[in-house]
Amino acid sequence: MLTKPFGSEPSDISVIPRFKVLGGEELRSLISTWLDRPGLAEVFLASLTVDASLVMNRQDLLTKLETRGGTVNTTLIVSRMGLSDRPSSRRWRDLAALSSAGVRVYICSQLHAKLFLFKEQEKVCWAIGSSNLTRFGLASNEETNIRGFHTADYVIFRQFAQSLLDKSEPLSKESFQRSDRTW
Amino acid sequence: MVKTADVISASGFARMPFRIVPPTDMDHIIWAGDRSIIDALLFAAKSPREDELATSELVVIWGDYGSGKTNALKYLSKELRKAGALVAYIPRPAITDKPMWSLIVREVFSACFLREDVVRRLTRLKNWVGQEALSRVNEEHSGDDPQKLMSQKQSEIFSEILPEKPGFVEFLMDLVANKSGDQNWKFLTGSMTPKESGAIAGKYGISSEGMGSDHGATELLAYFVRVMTHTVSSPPGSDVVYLLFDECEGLNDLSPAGTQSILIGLRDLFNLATEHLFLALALTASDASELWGVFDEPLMHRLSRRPIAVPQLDPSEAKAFMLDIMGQNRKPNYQGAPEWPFSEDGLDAFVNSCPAPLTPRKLLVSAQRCVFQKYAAQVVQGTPVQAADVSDFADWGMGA
Repeated sequence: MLTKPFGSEPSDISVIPRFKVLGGEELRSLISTWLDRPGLAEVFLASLTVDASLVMNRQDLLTKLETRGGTVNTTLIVSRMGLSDRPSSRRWRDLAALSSAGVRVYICSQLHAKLFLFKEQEKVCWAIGSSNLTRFGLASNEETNIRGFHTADYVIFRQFAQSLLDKSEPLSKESFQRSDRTW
Repeated sequence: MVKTADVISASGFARMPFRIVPPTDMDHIIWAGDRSIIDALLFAAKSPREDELATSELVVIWGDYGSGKTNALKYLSKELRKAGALVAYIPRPAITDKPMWSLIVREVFSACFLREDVVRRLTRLKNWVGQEALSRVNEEHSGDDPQKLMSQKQSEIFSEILPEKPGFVEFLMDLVANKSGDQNWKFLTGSMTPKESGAIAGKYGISSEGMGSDHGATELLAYFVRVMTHTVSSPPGSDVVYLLFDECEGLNDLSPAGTQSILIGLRDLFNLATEHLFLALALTASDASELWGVFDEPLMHRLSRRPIAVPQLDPSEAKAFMLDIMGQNRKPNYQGAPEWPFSEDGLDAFVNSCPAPLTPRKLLVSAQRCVFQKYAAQVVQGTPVQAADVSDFADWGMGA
């Protein structure tokens, strides 16, 4: 019989790690790559706020989401906390543009979670952590996120995403009006 | 301008040592540095042999870009072919504009296996079938037509070799006998019209889908593996059939239909050929968790070994790699220092200055530029590359 060398142990897939820690820049690269994937079927993004001019692989996030929003089931939840601004401000305008492009935009009053989910027909990707979808969160801040591709993990995060959606309201004229009153 | 040949000669090399061997070149592959990775692969590759465990293996090898995965698969191919095995090295899964599993299987037959080699290997089985059938005819002493009886006994043996599809054994035996010209080979390579394929399939009772569908291609490749490795003839056509898939990270660039087709094909093939098959999948990944993002879960559950990582090198491993690669490319009877055309401290400085991640590819490219471009004239004049020479290494873009 053969003498077993190092590294040839029988498989035990439970020892294969299911997630990896990412900094903000790596998370940006991951999100950008997944937004470009041709088979993308569903996107779910939750972030305190969104910096639509954030450049992702030579294209700003707004353009990327607008492009995919029409063809991919894309949901974006942002926090009202991140929108304490005039309805005429750039962030509100960006959200309105995304909504017009087919992205389902929701507002959650106390949202602080950062959750990014991508689904193809048979493949998934999830990421959670501290990064918001902003230039600071995906570039200059010291952030910690984790990402994985395992379906069982994705299912858990997708359920959590649904619970966030249940606590949110779709972006509407009333959202703008309420914001104006808050201001 | 200094000629490369002059630098090779002045450096005491027989050939260019710092070379990234192109995908098509299998003959000049060498293994340098730490052997634990290649030993693990060779160990796993021997396991599906009949005199070992016989059970098929599905192995994954992963590491950074340039870490040596391709070299490992190609070196494995070279060693296995030297030992007489039938090996297909598939450089990447995206072989066509619209890659599907059935097209990859056709590619295995049309570009990786040679018809003459397959025929030579199966000739042993054909000879054995002929002798065995004759001996059974003789044992029976019946008054039937000897030709008819011989044919009956051959069919009986075909059923024993591949009970589910005895016609496929006959198909392969006719391929060896060249009974239908090269029609049977054309069937395997998919270079037939559907009508022609249908006629062949009907004649041998093979699935009419032939190589035209993923399911048909998987079935035929699995049957091929089983017949090729069947142990009734000694030795079999090949102890194990090896299919080595490189650059599997490219699966993520395909359409979802293409990716699924290939992943399901790999899974079904592994399910159908439970013995004497070795499947190796290599991919660029920064950590093992990325495997979940490239392969689907059912395939991951079929891995028969822990994924083999090809790690980055630390400076001492990088130095050992450089010494080994230079040593294996020296002129016969070379008497000089092992570090030449570097000085001892020059080689240390070279590996320490090379920007992370330290990979064989980066070392080879950097050494090529250092010795054969920047310091070529100095080396030809007999002065080695010294520590001071590479102090500004990062600035002249050598590590990129």
